[in-house]
Amino acid sequence: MAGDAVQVPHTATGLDNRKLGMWAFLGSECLFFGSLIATYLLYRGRSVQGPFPEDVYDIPYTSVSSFVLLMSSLTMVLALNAIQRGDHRRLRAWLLATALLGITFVGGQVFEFTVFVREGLTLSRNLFGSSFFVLTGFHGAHVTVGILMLLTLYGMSLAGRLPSERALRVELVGLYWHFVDIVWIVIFTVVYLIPS
Amino acid sequence: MSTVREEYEPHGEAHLPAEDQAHPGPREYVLIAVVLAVITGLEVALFYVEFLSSTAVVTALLLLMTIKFALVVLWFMHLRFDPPVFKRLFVTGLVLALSVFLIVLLTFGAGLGPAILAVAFVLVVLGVLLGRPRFLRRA
Repeated sequence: MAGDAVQVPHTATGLDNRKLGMWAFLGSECLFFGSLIATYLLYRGRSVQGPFPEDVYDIPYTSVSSFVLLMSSLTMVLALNAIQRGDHRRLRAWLLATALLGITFVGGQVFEFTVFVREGLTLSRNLFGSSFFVLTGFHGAHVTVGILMLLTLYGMSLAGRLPSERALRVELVGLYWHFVDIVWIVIFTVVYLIPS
Repeated sequence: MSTVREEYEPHGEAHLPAEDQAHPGPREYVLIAVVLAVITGLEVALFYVEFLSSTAVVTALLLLMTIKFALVVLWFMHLRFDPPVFKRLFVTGLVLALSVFLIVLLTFGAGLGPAILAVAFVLVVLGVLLGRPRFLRRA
């Protein structure tokens, strides 16, 4: 980024270590979520008592949730574009929009979990319940952390502590946010859409 | 005053790691988002389709998932435009995760042949998209 270019020459690689660290972290997160998804697939169809996925899944509802999270990636990248152009009003608007879309997604997930529990699916009910709640719960926790980071950036911008020279901070939060989005892209297809 | 970079790279710009190429503008981002929304619609439609075999549906869903994944990673996360070292870090994690995933399924899962083939297919597509081999870079 133009604003962060002044910091680049201080590293041996010529690249910013914070961005390098974030990509290494995201690479390790692939392993984390990969293990949870593999566990879900391994246990799929092996529950001996219900409720089973087809009894509880509401595909239209989850599709709307997925769409909301997908669109939050657009608002996130528009926030980064705004700070790179020095447009702080738009930066705040897009950051807030991204956080609100994230809150909508997490709220939807909480509602979905509540419905599932009312229908008898709990963490300890069967293999499906255990693997499903652990996988989607960890994803929801990641989204929640992302929302907190977005709101922090919003507050910093309001306080005038997020000048264009610090656009890299928005980029790093953006990378994290897009990552939780791509994890959901995989979960939505593998967990919800592919029939057992 | 010489910087660390100059000490390591005395010949200047020509020897520096690839710098960020220009990132896309808002119009391109919106276009990508529209494509992502359309693909999501297709995925949901495939879930309700009854005239296709389950193997065809699963293959199509995995292909669409891969396209969505690649679009977000390459454009929204700027891997297409940023220095290749970021790409290598991420792809390393991704390939490791998929390898472990395949080994686990092969070891414990019975009758998962089509799923394993499909995941291998996803792995190859991701490798081609993210690794951008030489023949693609020349084009």
